[in-house]
Amino acid sequence: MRASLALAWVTLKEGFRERAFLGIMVFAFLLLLASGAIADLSIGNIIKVTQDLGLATVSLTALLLAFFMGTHLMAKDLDKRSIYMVLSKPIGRGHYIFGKYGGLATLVGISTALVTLFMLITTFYFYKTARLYTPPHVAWGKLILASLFIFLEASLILAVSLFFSSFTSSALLALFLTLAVYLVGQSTHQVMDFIKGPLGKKTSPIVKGIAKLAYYVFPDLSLMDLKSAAVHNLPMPPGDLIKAFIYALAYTLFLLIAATFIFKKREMK
Amino acid sequence: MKDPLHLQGPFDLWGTSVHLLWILVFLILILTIHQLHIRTTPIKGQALSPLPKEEVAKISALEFKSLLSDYYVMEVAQLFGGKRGNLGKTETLWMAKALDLAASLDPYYTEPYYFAGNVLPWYGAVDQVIPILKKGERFKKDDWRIPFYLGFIYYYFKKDPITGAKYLAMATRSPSVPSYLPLLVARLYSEKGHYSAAIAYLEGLYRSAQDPKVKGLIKKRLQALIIMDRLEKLAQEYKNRYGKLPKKPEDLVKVGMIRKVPPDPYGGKFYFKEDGTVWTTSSLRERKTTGKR
Repeated sequence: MRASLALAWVTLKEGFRERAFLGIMVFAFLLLLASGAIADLSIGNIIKVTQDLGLATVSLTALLLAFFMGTHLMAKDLDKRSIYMVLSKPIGRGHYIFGKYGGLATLVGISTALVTLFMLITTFYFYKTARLYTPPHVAWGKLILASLFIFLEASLILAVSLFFSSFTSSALLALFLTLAVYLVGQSTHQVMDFIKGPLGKKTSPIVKGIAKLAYYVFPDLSLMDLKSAAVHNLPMPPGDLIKAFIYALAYTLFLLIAATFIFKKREMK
Repeated sequence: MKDPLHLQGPFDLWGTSVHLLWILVFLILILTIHQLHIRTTPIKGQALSPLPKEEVAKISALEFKSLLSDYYVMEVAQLFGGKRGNLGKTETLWMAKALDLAASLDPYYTEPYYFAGNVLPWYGAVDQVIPILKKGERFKKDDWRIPFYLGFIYYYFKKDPITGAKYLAMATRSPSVPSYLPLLVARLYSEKGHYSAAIAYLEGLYRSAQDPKVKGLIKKRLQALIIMDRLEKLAQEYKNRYGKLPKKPEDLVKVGMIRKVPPDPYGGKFYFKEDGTVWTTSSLRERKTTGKR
């Protein structure tokens, strides 16, 4: 446990020093600064557009960090052979995976919190300065909750990236596999909706079977997407939130345990 | 386990991420310049960008569906602004499709419905706008404007007062409805001779009204409509007895069907139209405007 914590701390420090981390953060802040100007191109309730852009930025930042940092930092350990230094110490490989994950998740968490804070500040600024006949209602609490679930989604993606990194030494391959899981995980729910709808009558049973299989195997990331509900101030039933939370947590834990299992079997060159 | 795919070679992840970020920044820049361009220059015969199918758009937008919806609304706003309202048929149909797509991507976003309901019917896209508004009516039940637009479109563009009145009545049941709307709807009912419907509607409204001022307004209109309904029915009875419609309400007094012509609460005078329906010189308005309609 202590070893994992120490490793997490080192990973976190290492992550903050990465140029990719800085690049992503600068990009996020620039996008948020521009959100007011971009929203101004729309009509009517431009605060809605500002909120959409803000939450999309939070989402994009968390995901980019999960994609790049997850695959990069583990590949770097293997590439620079620094992993031998760690594993030569009395640290189990399971501790290594969980420590790495802990550090990276903290990094994504801190960044998400920072970007969320900046998103709230910019939204508040545009809310106060926009000239609208009827000031729209902004559900600040729900915006924060949506950001929290974005973090949850990114943590799951992070676990996916560690899972793939546990058996491939190529950061690029792990990145592409993670990206594939993300793309499938984002669309399975939608595809299932289409199949259940009128479009489903035209779909062949094989395609339906594949879609159903994908739906049950891949993580259903749409469960963690509260962005639209937050922007439109829709009701968020606590039961659904708890279900989504447990689902993400269980899936993440399963991936980390699987990653540990594979990593233990892995031969280090 | 050896790397089965031999992908272990040196790979510069930092370089790749920087490249990806640059591509992203570049794309945003292009988009902004494109937006600013169409904002400042009037479009002359510019080809409209093809719109994807709803299913394709929904899946490819991933978790950024609202953002794509915002984008289409922006495109429509820019096109409308660029054309300064001089829309051709192609542009109108394109806008209807883009707004339909925007509404499908983010069904709780009000702007696509408002823009579609307010602007496009005037350019001929009536049949395209109705399904968009009906979609909005399903998702935004508390918004009185969507059934109001639908009611107006049916009433004015489709010449279908019955469906129009149905949607207008639906609009008046919304909690956010402005106080003038129920009276307007009752007037629409009564102008087509549906007095019984209008009376029933107003009675319901009278019972549910909270504001004493509004209650007073409804009561007055209700009184007028009850008289008009009664006069219209008596005119039919007159026709059954004498084989022709009465020319004026005083004819009913002459034959003893009523003792005197009741006064219009709005200060006007009731009269029979050629088809035997009743109207008043006040047009059920508080102040007299142009007299006879």
